[in-house]
Amino acid sequence: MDEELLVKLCLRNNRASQKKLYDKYKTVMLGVCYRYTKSIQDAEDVLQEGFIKVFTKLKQYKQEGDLGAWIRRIMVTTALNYLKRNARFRDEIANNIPEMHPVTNDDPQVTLDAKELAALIRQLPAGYQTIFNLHAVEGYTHPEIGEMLGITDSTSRSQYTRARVLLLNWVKHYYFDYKMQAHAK
Amino acid sequence: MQNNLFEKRVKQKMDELKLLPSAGVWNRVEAVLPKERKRRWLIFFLLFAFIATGSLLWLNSGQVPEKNTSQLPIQKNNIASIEEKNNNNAEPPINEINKTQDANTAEPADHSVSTVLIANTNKSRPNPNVSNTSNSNITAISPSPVDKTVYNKSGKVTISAEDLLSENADLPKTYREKYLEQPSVLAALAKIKISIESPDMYEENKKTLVEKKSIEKNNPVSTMANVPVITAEEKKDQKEVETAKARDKEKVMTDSLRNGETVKVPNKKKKQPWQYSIQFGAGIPYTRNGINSTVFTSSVSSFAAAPTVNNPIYNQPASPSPGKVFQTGITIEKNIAGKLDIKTGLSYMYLSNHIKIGAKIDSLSGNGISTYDNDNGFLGYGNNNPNFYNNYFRFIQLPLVLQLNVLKKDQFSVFLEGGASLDYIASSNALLFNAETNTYSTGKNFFNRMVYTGIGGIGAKVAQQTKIPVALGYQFSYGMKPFFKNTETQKHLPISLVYFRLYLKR
Repeated sequence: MDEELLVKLCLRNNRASQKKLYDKYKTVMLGVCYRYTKSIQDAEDVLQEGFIKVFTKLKQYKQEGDLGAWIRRIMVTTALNYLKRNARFRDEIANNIPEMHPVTNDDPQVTLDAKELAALIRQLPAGYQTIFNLHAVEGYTHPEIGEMLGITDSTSRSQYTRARVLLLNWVKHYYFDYKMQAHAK
Repeated sequence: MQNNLFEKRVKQKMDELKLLPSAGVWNRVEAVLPKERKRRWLIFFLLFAFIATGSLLWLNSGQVPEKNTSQLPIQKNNIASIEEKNNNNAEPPINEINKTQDANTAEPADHSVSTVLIANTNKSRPNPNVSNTSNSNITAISPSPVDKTVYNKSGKVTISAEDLLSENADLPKTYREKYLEQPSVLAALAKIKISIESPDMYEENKKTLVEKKSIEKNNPVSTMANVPVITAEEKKDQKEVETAKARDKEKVMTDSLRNGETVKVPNKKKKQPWQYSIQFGAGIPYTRNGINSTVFTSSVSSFAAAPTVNNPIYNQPASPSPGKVFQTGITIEKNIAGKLDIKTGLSYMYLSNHIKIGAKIDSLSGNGISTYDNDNGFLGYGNNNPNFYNNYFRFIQLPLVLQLNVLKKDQFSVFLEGGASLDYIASSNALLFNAETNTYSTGKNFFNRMVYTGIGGIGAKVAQQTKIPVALGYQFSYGMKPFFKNTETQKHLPISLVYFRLYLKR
């Protein structure tokens, strides 16, 4: 079905069309939510909240850009709001975690599959995880992230740097420790 | 550089990430979402059905007294009847009687067919007997509980109608007061003499007549042979046969009444005539979210909703100024039940608004736009120049409307109306603005040619008993089908109209 027509029908609260739209984007959007949360249950909660927003705010969608990108923005915003309600996240985002030792080898080889990499990102402290996702994956600038999370640009920048270093270390360790061992077997 | 490469690879991997949510997520989403919005036409239909149902109920409740006159529940054994026939002289009291029959249909009295049932208090009275006088053929049921009537030698007795009425003192009071105890009725009835047969004579006459009829059936030739030489006596016999038939019919009816059944007296319904009229209307297209405001500013193709970083150019059309609506047509209407009329007809409607446009453009090559939409016609006029342009639409309308006369007097009535109309856009020169090319253009395929419309209104008919009855009213219509074929949002066409209707024939 034409996406424009699908949106029109969703605007009329046609249940079958809403389900169709949900089915079309549910897997990708759960992937987005998964990166920002610590558990699959949390990710599903965000997904649920996000889709309710999508259907209730669909009137605001102007049908100019990609519908998927519009939904994705809603999911990210919903995930951030979800995290902001979490006291631990608020604490982590406000207070820098102790300095990490940067890795000497900054080899960017990423040979993990998507789920493995997402699992590593989710191992990051909540603040790092969020800022890394917003900057590296969603493409927001540090001033934009600062505005979204209520922190300064420099805080966003430093936390991102630390998150990145941490993740690079993990990627290499994970790869060598697990992947190679598995391969050797 | 390598840093960017790392982010790029991470992003690529994350974009590939797809996870399947559990089924419960959708169930929870669905539970929160509002139910499907019903279509507008359904709302109109329900509104119409509500009005129609309400009208019928109201009409029914308003007609109870009239119904009682023709469907009077009569107690067992309380029966008498008077059948009045053959009265072209239209005596005033007979008119009064007939009004009781004609009240339902509001028709003029037809004395040749009316029947009045009169309840009787008698409980042990045998079947009524029938006879007649030469002028007014009145049949009556003898009323006394114990037949103390003194019959003459021929088995008959003559009493006045007034006496007959006085013997029916236990008639329902309202019925007596309303229809019988009117001075004019009583005065006229006093002049009429009613001849009543004794029960024995009734049976004897009936037997004789049945035998006679049987003989005629068995000997048609002999009957035919007698045709040229029918004597006065035979004529009288024939008349008596007819009378007997009527009496039998009467008997069936009275038996039913005795058994406590409700007998509906057949009313001769006069066919309601169609009323023809010419209608003239004028008004405005509704100015909010309708044809005057945004309807002409919808683009044929993409229409930027607002300037963006990537697309700062925002082509905006000039605001249309209010136009006008004229309507004329022929309507026919007729009464279908009590206060309910049906109206249909054929109308022509002209609808317009004004817009300021630029000079005519034959080619868009100068604008750097190579696309030319053959379907949508030539690319016509530029934007932002103060040339006046009149957009018009010509409609042919086929309405079907129900009118409820909420207030009905002799000379005027006030009515509410509701219904639907099938509107066809016969022609149009309307321009649509295309934000992409920054031009106005016209085309056959911009609009849905056939639009169905909901109608509601209020009006008054005046001077109804004169030679030039007229009606004045206000009507609001709303296009249930979107006016445009290709727009992002659905535009409907609301119109307010004041009309004048001149009736040609009643």
